[in-house]
Amino acid sequence: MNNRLLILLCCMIIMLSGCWDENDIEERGFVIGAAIDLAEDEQGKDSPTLTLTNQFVVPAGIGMPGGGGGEQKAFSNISGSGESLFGIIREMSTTVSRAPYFEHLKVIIISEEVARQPDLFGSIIDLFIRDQEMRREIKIVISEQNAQKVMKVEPEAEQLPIMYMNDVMDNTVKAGGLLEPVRMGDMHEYLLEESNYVIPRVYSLDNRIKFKGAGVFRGKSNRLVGNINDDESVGLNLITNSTEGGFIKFEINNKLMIYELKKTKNTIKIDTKDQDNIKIDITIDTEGNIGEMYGERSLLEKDFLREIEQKVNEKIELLANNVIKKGQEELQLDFFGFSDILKQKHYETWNEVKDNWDQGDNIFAKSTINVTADSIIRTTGASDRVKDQGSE
Amino acid sequence: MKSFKYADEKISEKEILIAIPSMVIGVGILTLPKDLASAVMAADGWIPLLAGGFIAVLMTWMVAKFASGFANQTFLTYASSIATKPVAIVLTFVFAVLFLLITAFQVRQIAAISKQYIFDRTPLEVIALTFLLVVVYAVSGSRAGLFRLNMMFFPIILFIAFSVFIFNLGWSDLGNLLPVFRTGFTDYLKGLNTGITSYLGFSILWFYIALVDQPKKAPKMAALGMCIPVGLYIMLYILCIGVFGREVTANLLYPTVELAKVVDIPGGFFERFESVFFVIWIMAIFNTASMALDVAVLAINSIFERLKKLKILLILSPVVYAVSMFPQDKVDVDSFGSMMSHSMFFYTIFVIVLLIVLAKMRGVKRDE
Repeated sequence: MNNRLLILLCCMIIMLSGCWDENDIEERGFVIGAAIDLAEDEQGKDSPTLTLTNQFVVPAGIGMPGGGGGEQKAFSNISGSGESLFGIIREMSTTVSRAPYFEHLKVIIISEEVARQPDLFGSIIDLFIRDQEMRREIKIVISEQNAQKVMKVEPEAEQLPIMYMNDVMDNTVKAGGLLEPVRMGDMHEYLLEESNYVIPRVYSLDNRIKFKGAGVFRGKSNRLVGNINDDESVGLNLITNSTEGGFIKFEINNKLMIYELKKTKNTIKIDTKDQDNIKIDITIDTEGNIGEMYGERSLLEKDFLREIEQKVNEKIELLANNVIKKGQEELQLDFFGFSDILKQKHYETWNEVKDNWDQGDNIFAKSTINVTADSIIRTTGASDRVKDQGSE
Repeated sequence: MKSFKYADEKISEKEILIAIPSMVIGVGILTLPKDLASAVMAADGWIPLLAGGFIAVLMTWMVAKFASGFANQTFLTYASSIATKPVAIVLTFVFAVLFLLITAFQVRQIAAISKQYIFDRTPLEVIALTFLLVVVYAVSGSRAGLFRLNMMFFPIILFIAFSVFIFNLGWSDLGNLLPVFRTGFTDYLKGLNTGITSYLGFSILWFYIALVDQPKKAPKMAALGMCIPVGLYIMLYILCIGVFGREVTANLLYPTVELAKVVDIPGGFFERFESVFFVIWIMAIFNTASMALDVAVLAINSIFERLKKLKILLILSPVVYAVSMFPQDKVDVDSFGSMMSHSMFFYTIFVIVLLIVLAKMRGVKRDE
């Protein structure tokens, strides 16, 4: 019995002592952001050379809240160049003390220059979906300038530029009603379904970063084909998303007024009776309140409220129509997701038109799109009038 | 070392109810949405799943009903009284081989998936061996103990499956489920093929009914148990399509695991839900593998009554290990899996038909 126990114990020592996949947390270099640019030199190669910059967290630099992190920076950006991202990462791990670890990667910034290259964007995304360390919640943004530059921003209140950017992105969506960030999971869907997509654009300004408009991609070629500005992306958001947040600025009696969106709901109906002239009806229902007003009229008059609602509707319709016009006339590309609705609800029609939807005959550009907005003002804020009407 | 002896080596009908879903839910569920989505359009996959489930429930009931007519007799005994002893031995032996293949497949799959998601550097062989050793340990103990282990694990498995379901509801997009009923007939058949092979495992009833306390109640309980995986599979499939859309589901290797990766528990105090999901799911696969191995041992034991159970187990487990390491890559593993499940399916039908027809022809009495 004793001998048996001894053998068992020896076995246990062998079986339990070693863990093949042990990883000390001190040896991991947490990458929270990655920027991808075109490398400047080396012309005349078959495939373009990329520069990948990873933002590593430097735990020693983070320090205590309030106390500050001392002299050391809380992050370090490390770049490498090569033709394959995987190769760059492997090479990078030979030059840093902590091997890059991507489970906590938050944002990928891709420069417009890269996005404009033919057949490159989709291939870059491949690694971020294929690798098991990557998560489907990684956000993707396009940068107007060099993508590296965005990661070098040194915000005043935050220590890590990428975390700062992540927060700014959330705030922009909530406050400005701009486009929702695109996640890796969505991206996977877009790439496989060859649908067109829109990715928010970012640019850096001294110590700040700002989101400005979005880049429009053609799904067939995965290539950046155009940009939309802030107003247009608000319009796009009104058409495609049921978001909470954002505001509408409009004028009534030549006085500025702000309508704060609290709830947006949109319905898109497609009439496919005549295939040469497909009718798309978009209804945007919004609910909100008056955020700010420059006039002095009382808001408690029903007629005046109706008038304001009318103006809000006009403004919303204008915003939506502008972006639709851009899609139909300038880019001739359906980035509104109408094709998805066709596929889901009018499958037969979709099978007939899919080759000529936004290419070839471009049925999309010829279709009639109608936007109707219906807004309700729920409250007018804490006070009816803030200023006296005054005497004129 | 002494092994614990249970007071009775009988199993109750409730344990049969749990044993069926525990056996059926294994590695298949991790890849099922992918296979189904590549065959049919959007959410239409629920139709082959339901149809396949119906067939599976029916077959489960038939097997249980037939076997329960021979109370307290092993498969070999009643099969020999219906169709001569040599035939019965061959039938039993083929069952044993098929169950060994199931065990080998489960071991290989769980090793491959764990390597992919958790153990990046540990060799596949070591993961498989470790898992197999635990399974062998479970099988070497009491058979009734195995059933009690099922009873213990199963609620936890269901709980984690429902958590994945609930936490993913927010991510799913109903638009992805459209269009409905656009699948062609041949594609439905392809889907049915996947659907039905994912429900295999009820053949354990051929052997386990002999151990049941009250065989009369067993058919109803077994059929009821079979309904659990049907519901679970349909739920999971629709969720996958809702969250990922059809194209992505068809391209992800393990959609169910990715689903667990998507889970984001509000509040941010608990990230990486998939690690918990894995631990629990390995329990489900452990149940499947250990029961399959146990049935194989039971079948061989009924042929060679003189041999001790432990001896058979120790002879069989290296075979299982060797077979599980045989496929070279993922494509090989997949074709091994589909080969195994198809032969299991057709063999089960063959045995049911053969035994029922012969019993009728030769007038073998069942105690109704």
